[in-house]
Amino acid sequence: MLDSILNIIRIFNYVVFIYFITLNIWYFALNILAYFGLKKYMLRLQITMPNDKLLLNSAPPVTLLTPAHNESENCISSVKSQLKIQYPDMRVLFINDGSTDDTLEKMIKAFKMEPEFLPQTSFLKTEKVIEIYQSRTNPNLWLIDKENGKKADALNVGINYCQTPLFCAIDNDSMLEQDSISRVVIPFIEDTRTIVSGGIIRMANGCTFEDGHITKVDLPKNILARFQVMEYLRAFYGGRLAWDILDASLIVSGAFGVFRHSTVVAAGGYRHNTIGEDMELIVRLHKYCGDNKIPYKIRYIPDPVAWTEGPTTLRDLGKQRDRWQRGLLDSILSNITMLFRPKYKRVGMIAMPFYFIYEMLGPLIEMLGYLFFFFLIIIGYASWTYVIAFLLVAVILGMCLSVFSLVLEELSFHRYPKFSHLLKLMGVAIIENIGYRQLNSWWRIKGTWSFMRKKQNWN
Amino acid sequence: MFEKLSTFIADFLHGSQDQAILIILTLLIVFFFLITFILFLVTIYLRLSNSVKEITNRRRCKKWDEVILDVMDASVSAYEGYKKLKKPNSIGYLLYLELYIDMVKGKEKEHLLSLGKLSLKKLHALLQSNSRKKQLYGVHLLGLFHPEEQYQYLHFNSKDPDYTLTMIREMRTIEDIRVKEKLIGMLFLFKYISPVYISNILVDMGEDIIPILRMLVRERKDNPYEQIIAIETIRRMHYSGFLDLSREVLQNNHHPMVLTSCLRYLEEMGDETFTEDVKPFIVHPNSQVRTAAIEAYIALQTSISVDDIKQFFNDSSVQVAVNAAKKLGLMDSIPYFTIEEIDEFKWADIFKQMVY
Repeated sequence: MLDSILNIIRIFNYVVFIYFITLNIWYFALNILAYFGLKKYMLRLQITMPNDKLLLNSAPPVTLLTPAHNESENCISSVKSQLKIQYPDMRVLFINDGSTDDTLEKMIKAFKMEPEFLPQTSFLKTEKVIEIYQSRTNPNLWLIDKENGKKADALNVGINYCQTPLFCAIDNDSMLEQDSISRVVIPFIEDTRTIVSGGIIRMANGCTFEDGHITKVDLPKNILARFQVMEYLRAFYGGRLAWDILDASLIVSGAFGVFRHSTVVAAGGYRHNTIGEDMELIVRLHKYCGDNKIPYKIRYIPDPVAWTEGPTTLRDLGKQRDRWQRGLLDSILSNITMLFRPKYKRVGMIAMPFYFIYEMLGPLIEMLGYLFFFFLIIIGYASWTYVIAFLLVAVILGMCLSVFSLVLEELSFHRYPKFSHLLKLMGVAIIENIGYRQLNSWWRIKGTWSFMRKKQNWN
Repeated sequence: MFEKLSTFIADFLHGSQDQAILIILTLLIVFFFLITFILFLVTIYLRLSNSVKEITNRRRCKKWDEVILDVMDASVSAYEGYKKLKKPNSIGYLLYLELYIDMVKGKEKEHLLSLGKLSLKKLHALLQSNSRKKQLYGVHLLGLFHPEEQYQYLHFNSKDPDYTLTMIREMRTIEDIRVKEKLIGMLFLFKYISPVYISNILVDMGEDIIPILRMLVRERKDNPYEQIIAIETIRRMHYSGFLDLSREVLQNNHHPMVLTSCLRYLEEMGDETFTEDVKPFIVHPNSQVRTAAIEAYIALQTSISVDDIKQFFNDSSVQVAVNAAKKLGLMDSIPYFTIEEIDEFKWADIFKQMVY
């Protein structure tokens, strides 16, 4: 019996090996796709500038939805920076999600807000709206005060009162660059089938902001934040850009994405009882359009930037990764019927299986692989040479992918201006694979565990 | 049975293949290490070359600035300025000159355009290049400096829609009506571009394309997308000569979006003789048509009846009521309603808050 168990473990290790090889082939293919996509985008960007009058005159009105709960400290600076965004027809809808601090009072005072009627344009189920205000100093600024119902509920309230064909969902602590909206709506102008368009998220840690706008780009001093800079570059260049080329994007970050109002309403808006409401909505939009045979596009644009603060302590970062993993699991499992279904095209046949096999199960398989390896070494069934070789491949591949995203950054926007930034990021690309990556897998396993426990509770 | 099977698989993998896997792993280590190292060098090279480019550009721009400013205020002629320039035929210089041209008007703009025209030879070379990038720059810059010659070297690539669209877009200022006709035909091959965007391109082509647009509305009944764009363009040009044809469209066309465009055109033209033509569409099954009809109807009327208002605020769609309320809010006077009467409206709140 013991022999059987040992054999199973050994077989599992080969499975891990094959899994690992295929995963990295995928990542490489995605990076190469991203390279060609970025090259094409850069050329178009040089010819068609976003401040182009032709494009701006064709830009549809957009409402910026900013949900906030107890954001008393930075709500005013965030809203001020949002009001400075350069876009022909934009309004800001600040949604106070039952804050218990003085967010509401501060907003009313700072922007001279007074109660005003705003017609409801859709009827998604939400918590009660208490009052709607309009600013007397800036008529494009509205505030909805509502009972607490979490972020998804607050966004649904914003959708219900959105008067424009497009809305942009952003986090209250995200800082949008001034031309970010005019860039991110271009897919809507160039293709009427576009229902969602998202931009890149960069780490604000270490950067200097004045009046809600970035004035100096720098790397964070905190090593955890620096790891995240590298992670974001890898995720947005190597991941999202490539999935966009494949026409199978499953994620548009909740911190910055523009949506077609009518389609989101028809799909039922944001789901309340989920952690990763942003990914869940995107997956559901794919499902909705696939089921109803609606031609559609979900796009990612690599240069409209939203800057956001990342966690700087292990505890906060762990919590964030735990939450992301639960969001991922929830989004995939609640739309599991899309898996390998040709009617959802590349999303059903490529993206969903990829996320299911590699992103969802990845951390679990990786950690089990490590455990079983060491177990086999201890009992003398595997050689150190094999284990070390395997780990070396893993580390070098991780480095290779990170350096690839640095190449993409240098080829395109090179936002980190100093030569020392580049060297530091290269250093990060090397050391993140030893320790940080494993820690991430551990947090994600914890996330999976929390998700499963919660599942049992719901039952 | 299970034990035998698992032992067999494990032995198969372990015994004979372990060495092979080690070799594969070693090869992978060497291969990916080399790739990483090359990528590392590429990154450094890119950073260095970007920095060098930036410094060189800054220096060049400084020199270009002097000449451009001199030509702009006519201190030197365009030809003399051209002679003084370093790299006067480079894409970088021409794009830089474009930035100045965008910022100035009148004589100053003319002087700078004359300066740019002297780089004609280079632009032709760009158009004949095999590089997609150079061709696009060529068309873009030729559109700025020599719109009349722009079409001569065109090679549209139907397999590359982005390229073709950019080409058409850049050539919209061309004067030859035959070329414009060709371009419009090509624009309509793009089925998913926002009609507003295409209309904006067409508006820039000028009023001499109106006969083509009229022909599209009259004859392309099987293609509502083209009709919508044509009507939208005519509306944006504020061309009143389409009124006769718009009546025909309202009577014979059944596509909701074509009707919506036509109603918007009538709203913009504000000819009250069309009130009766618009009225039947207030009860159209499509809510977008109803919205456009109500907006046009309110814009064409000097006074609105009680029954009309009841109709607007009992509509099944909230969007229809909201848009009606916005339009009514702009009117000087509307009929009086008691609170009880208003409360009977389906969208009473909207009427009370936005109109009453």
